[in-house]
Amino acid sequence: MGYENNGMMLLSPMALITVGLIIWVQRSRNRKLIEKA
Amino acid sequence: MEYANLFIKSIFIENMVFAYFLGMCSYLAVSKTVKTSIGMGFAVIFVLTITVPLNFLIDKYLLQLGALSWIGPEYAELDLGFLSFIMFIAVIASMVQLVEMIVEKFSPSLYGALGIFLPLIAVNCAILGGSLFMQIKDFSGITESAIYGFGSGIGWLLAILAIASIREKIAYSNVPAPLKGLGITFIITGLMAIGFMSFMGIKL
Repeated sequence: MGYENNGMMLLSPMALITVGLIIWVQRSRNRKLIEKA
Repeated sequence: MEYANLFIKSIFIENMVFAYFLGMCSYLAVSKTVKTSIGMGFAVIFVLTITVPLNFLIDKYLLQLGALSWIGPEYAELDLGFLSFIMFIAVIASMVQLVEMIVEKFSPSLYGALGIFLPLIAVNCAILGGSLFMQIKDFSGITESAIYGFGSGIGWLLAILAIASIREKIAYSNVPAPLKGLGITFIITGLMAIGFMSFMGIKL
């Protein structure tokens, strides 16, 4: 029923995705950090 | 057939970037355009192809336990394995100097575009990692280690070429502003690594 945990977030590539999401959150909170195109 | 297996394995199954996450620094920094990433990829291929077999010879005939027995029977007990890091790095650094001089001579524009990351190949984890994996894998001959080094280099080129192409394309996409640049690159790299995990089940 519902989402069954299959340990996907425990895979090693998920570290990169987590870092990407942390960058996203940090740059949303502090707009000065956004990269200029 | 053995060699072909090793070659395919070092490119896809044991890809330096996507399976071991080695060499991520220059992978993230130089992958803004396809042109510079190709130059960087070939520099890495060259350095890996030369240094892995060279380090294999140094390991086999100078450093391993009993490797010095060719000098005389009294050296058979000697184990210089603790020197492998410094010897490998010395070989790699000298080879990177050579690459730097070649690139500066024949393509000054690429030399300028790569900037600090060209001499920094010397401390790229993928290069030292190649030599250390070679030591662990206990290859039987110089051909095997050369093929392993070349294959690892091709795998690295493949990875940086893929991410550079995606980054060039994604410039035209509507990515949220805070995610632009490094953030989306990290996420794409993670997704590509998950894709490459599908090779892990293959036994060669």
